[in-house]
Amino acid sequence: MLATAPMSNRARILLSIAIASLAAYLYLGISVRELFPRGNGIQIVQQFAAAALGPEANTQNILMALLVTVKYAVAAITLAFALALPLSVIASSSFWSGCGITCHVLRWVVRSFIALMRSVHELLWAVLLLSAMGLSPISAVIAIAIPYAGTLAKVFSDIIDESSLKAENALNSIGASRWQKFFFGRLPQAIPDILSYAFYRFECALRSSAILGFFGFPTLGYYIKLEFDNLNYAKVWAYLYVLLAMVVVVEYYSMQLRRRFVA
Amino acid sequence: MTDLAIDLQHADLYLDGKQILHDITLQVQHGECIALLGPSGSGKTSLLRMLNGVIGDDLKSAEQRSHIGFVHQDHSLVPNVRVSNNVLMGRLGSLSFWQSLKMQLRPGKKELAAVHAILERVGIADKLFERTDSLSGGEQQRVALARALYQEPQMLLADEPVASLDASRARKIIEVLHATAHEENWTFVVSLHDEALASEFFPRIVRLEGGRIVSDGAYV
Repeated sequence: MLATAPMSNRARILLSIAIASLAAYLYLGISVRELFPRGNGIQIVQQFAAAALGPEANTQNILMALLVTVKYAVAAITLAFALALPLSVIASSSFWSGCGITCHVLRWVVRSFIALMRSVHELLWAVLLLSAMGLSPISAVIAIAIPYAGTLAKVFSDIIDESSLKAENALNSIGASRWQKFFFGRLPQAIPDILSYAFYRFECALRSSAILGFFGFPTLGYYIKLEFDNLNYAKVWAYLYVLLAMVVVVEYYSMQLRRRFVA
Repeated sequence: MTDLAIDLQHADLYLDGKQILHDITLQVQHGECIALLGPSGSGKTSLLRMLNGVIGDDLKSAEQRSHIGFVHQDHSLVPNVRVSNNVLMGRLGSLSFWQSLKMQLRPGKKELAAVHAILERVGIADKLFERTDSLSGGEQQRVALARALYQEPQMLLADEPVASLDASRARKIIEVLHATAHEENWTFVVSLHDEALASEFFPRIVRLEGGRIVSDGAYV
């Protein structure tokens, strides 16, 4: 008689995830009926959907909001990148290979700092910074830059550690120092993926910048909330279309740039 | 007076608890050129790495390794930088970090001229400023050779350096390496799988099988 094949580890993990998902839905008491609006909710949905066909644009406000959104995102991602790159190098295990316990302690301190930066969402940073610094552009930029720097540093350090060892070994065989092996053998291989990920995060920073408008910063989100509160759905749609167009345009150009760097 | 570049006496090599090389006795004079022959898994690469001082009981310092050139079978280049940068990396071992940073970011005219001359010798001078990963496998292998030549080592170790080249190109490259080693009085140890090529250029051939030297002398 043939023995039954034992369940693989992968199958066990997938089964556990499925059970956990089902348990979460049951615990929250979510049902399919709740997907459909009730009472005057149906009316609001109908009005909002109908307004999508006739957006009303205030060109001056749109251009101003668009410009501010992009400015905040550019400033935030630049600051995040400048913070993340050195942190990612210190957080990578390959930078410290062959180094003693002190180096590894320093690495774990930096990794913990990076985890702290990214574990708090930009909206929560915005709340904190608004209280501390008021409604100034710098508080919006820092609110986005801190968690983004944490995420960038984490991903960059993983990219660096996953780069091929071959070139580094070749440089080792001809007497290169630890730093030379890292900076000339390993880091250059990671640069295209680092830039590619940074471009992707710029797209995310644009969305975050727009959303910060809900806290009063003059980005697209500010006007979306304002018009939504005034029930001007046609104007809401105009801003939403602009947001969508901006993300599509930036995605297109960042894809071109990523291709150029990675190819 | 002995003038030995390599002097191994009954050397064994263990990696991860497994014996790779057995009772290796090998003496090579300064400026001598020898070829290693043997089937896959016979220990040629391990012997070369042991001579390089990166594995085994007699590990060499970075300073000692900076005088040993090593051409890897899989060329082991940095793929997304220019050919010139890869060749310039040949001298990292003899430069400080800041000198090497300057050389990588802004190489001088003199250095670039030297790199160009070496690339000319291996037949890819026109690729000086091309991205390394845009080159074919054979061209990349020649970049790796150029890196070793630019290093100007006292000893050159090459692990199947012409495996990815066609027969005529392989012959040309071995000719260049052999002539350079002879002119510069470098000790040259190369592992090859082409017996005809080995017998044409190397008066001394060391054969390995199962991690042991089974013959050492003229080609038979």
